[in-house]
Amino acid sequence: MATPTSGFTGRRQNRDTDLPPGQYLTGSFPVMSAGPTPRVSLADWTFRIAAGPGRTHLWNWPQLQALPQEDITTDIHCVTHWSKVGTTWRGVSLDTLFEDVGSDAEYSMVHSYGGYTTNVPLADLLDGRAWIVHEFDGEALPPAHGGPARLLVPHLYFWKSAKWVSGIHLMDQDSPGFWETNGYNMYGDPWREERYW
Amino acid sequence: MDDTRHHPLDQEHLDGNALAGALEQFVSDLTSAECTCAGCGSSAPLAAALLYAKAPGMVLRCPTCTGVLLCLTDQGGRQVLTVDGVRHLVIGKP
Amino acid sequence: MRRSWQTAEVSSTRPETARARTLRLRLPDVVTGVPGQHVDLRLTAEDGYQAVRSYSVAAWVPPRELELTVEELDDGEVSPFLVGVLSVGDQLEVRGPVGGWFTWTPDRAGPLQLIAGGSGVVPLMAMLRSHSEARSAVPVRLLYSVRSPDAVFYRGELAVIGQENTQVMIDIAYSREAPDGRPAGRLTHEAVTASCFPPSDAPSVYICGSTGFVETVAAWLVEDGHDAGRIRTERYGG
Repeated sequence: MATPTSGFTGRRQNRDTDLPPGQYLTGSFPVMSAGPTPRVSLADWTFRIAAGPGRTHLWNWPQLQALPQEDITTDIHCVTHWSKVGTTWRGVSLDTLFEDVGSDAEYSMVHSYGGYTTNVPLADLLDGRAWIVHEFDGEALPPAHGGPARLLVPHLYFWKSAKWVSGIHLMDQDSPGFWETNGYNMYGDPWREERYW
Repeated sequence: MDDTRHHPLDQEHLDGNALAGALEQFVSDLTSAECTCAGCGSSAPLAAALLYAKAPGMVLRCPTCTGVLLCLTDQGGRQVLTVDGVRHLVIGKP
Repeated sequence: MRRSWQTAEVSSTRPETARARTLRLRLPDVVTGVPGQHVDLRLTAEDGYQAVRSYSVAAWVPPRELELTVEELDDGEVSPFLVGVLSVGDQLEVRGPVGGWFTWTPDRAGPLQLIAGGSGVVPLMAMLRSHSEARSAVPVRLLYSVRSPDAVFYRGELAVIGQENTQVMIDIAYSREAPDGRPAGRLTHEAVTASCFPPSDAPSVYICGSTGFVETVAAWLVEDGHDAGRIRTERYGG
């Protein structure tokens, strides 16, 4: 048993009963980073969905901006126990991006500039549950938080919402991404507290 | 390939248990070990590599190519160390 | 070295600056360590919430005590508690001392060059204290870069060591505000070169400070001709 330190509470507000188990509310927005922040210019930025050989769909920045934009207000839950409620984002629904993509694949690997990867079942990216977002809190998404654009899949732990997203590769079989290889859960539902292997 | 477990019935091998003493020196301070990156082949002490700690785990990257050397995560008490990016670790002097 | 968590008790505290204080911790067992090493502190709240942070050891006080100097970080979670709330008699958990690379012992060859940015002086102070206690004949130079006179850690002790120990030279560089009659301003390459042993002396160099400070100063020294293999660095997070 760990010895408690008298008077220490940590920087947390009180447990909110609306939060997933083991989560604490934070007012700040901690920057989590497993590597150097890639600097991607909008001129060079592309996002691709690879559905198989010869079936790659590619968007550049103006093309992404020309698609219907949605405003999203959602709670986010980091596996390191902080949650932030009522965050606001703007971006393109993956339903829109997947409109012309035909595939029987059930799984996907999300790729980022800088080499980060995370796996998400395709179903979790559809039906209004995931977006490619480029604004946070009314401002352009800063590089530290994943700008120019990141994935937002708020119903899963936030490591699934890959920063600096560059593409999604569809897969017939599930395969672990970066944190899933290094101890974290293949799916990551915060309400079922699926943190680890 | 069949499902047979290949456990050689020879007289040549011992149990890994016998390595306990030899591996002990890697335990006393692993950060002093000279690490060769499996990605780019360059070497540096682990203590001079790039540690990204504000993350779900501790990610140690090669100071030359920034590839991941190793990753340490705490699964609520159980520690998981992955070392895919390490070609070898050297401790001690010739 | 201890590999598991031990419960330590705060035996005394003293302020270093308005934002930093030294904590003396008493461990249950005899503790031995090497200058430059650090310990991990673990704080546990009543409901089980835990935070772990690393702090360099500033002084070894045999047989069972050690001192840390903690500076309060803006927006910090643990440092404001350690600097402003923790009291004598309180308990916290300690792991270590650990680390074998950013360390110095008096038997190490060559002159000793220490370069500190702000609170990066803490592990270097442990080296300087060890050098003094061992009455080492190794020549030492400390270059200590701070914002202002009231941000200097260990001010009295540094003044005494600088005056009494002929082997030790201490330069304090002020970046924002200096004592009367002295210049203030960003640390320059020329000032660093002037406060360091020349490359021909082959000093062992230890640089500790913020990431920006460490990168800048280390690059200057390599440019001056110092062997990168003799330069050891430690970056402070945050």
